[in-house]
Amino acid sequence: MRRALTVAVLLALLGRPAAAWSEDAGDWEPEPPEIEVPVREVEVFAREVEAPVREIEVQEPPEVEVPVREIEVPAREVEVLVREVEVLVREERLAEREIPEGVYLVTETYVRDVVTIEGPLTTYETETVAWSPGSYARELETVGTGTASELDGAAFNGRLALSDGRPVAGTFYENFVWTSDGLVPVSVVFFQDDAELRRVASLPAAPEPAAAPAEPAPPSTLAAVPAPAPASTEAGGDGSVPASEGPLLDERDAPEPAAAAAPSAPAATGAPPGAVAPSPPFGPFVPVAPSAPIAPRPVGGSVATRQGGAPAQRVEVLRGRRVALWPRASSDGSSATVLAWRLVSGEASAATAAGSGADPFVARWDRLAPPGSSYVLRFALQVAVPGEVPPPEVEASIEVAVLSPALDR
Amino acid sequence: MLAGSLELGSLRLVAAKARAAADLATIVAIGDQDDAAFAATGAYRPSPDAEAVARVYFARNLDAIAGSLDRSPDEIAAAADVAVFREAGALDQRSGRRYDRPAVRVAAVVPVRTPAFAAFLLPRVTSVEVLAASVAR
Repeated sequence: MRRALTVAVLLALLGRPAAAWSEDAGDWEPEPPEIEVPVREVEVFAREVEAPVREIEVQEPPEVEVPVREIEVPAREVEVLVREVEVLVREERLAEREIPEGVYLVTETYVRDVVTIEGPLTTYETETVAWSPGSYARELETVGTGTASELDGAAFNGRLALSDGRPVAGTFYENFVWTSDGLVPVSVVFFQDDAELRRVASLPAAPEPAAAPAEPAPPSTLAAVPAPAPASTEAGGDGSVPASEGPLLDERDAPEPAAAAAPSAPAATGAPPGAVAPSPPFGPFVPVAPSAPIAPRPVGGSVATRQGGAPAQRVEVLRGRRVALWPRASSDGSSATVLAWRLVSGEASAATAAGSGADPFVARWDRLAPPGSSYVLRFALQVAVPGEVPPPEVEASIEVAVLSPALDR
Repeated sequence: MLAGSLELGSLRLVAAKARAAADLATIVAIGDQDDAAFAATGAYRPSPDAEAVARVYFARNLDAIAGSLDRSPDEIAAAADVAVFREAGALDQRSGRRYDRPAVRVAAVVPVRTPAFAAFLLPRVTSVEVLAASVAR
């Protein structure tokens, strides 16, 4: 078959010029031969050429045994990496989405309203946490002290009022979540940023907060309960000072807190702070009822005499005896994980200065404390609190009484 | 008369050493801490084997005067009344003392040979009572 085809091709090549010759033609110049190769032959030839190529491609590389080494990665680092990956994934998704102008990915999440009273100065601020829940936000309106807004009452955290009844200054933000239909608005949050100054002449001898928070808080800091409506002028749960205590000055009259009185600049981090209740990224949004106060998350530290044991305020150890103490932490009234601890102050003859949450503080005392006194150890604990990055640091202390045998006469 | 005076002096010396032996035994016994109690409360409590430790060290300390004793140190230590008061404020029924802290107490009768007293029609063995208590403070 191949031979016959070859003969046919040769005849075609040699016979074509002769067939094309004409007597009328002057100078005979043969035209370039046109080779007609049957398509079938070309396909067969191509397959023969490709066959070895495929064989080469399908060769599997030799199996090489790579020594596997188990690496213990701290859970904390894993969490950080997972969050970074989530952020990257969100940014990638964000790049694929068409986000309207003025809408940003939330990078600072609302935690609670904070009212701080320092002497005559009362500061209204908003506590945030550097965390991106995957939602979006846009700035709606920045309002000044006493300026009414159509958005009053729309924010789930309300808008507090100064002690004279005027609503505090701040900025309204609208929160969005991304759905298959695009961005869907879910809530409005108010970031308060204001301050007021009481007249010193009208100050009582010992100023006290007008209302104690329901949750434990630093002495001068009140966790504000959102006012359901901005028109509320009652001084009470919002932690503001009663108007009856005297004339008031707003932030424009305050000499020092000018920076604090100015509305926050969301652009400082490249994106405005937004706020939604902590929820899984791109997960179902759980709206926060406007009347529901945002509970603070008090984090405390303590020291126990055994792992998982009850906190101890004071321990008694014999001189020269090696003992182990366990820094502990609690959040929201329940036990929390101590990521790391370090000894801030305290005297011991031999002690570990720092450790992870799984490591105890091991020490011994070779010297007695001065008569009538004890050693006091202070630790700084890094506590894992969900949603708080970086993890908060709290202090824990314990009193150590070093004993020595003595005759009892 | 001279022999009697020397015997009396020797008896006082042995009695002092016996008391010291009891003192040191209680100090050793109270100088160990109960780890379980520390883990539970953080407070000091004597070791669970404080009583045994007190007896052992009482006997060891009596070895130095064993030649003057009518019984072996081990027998004397075994017969001793050793009490461990694990809680503060405990009342010692034997001595009537109240301890403001956990304590270990040893009360023993140490029989000391006094052969020279026999010439004066006195007992050949004189019993010396010792009482010692220690606390951790």
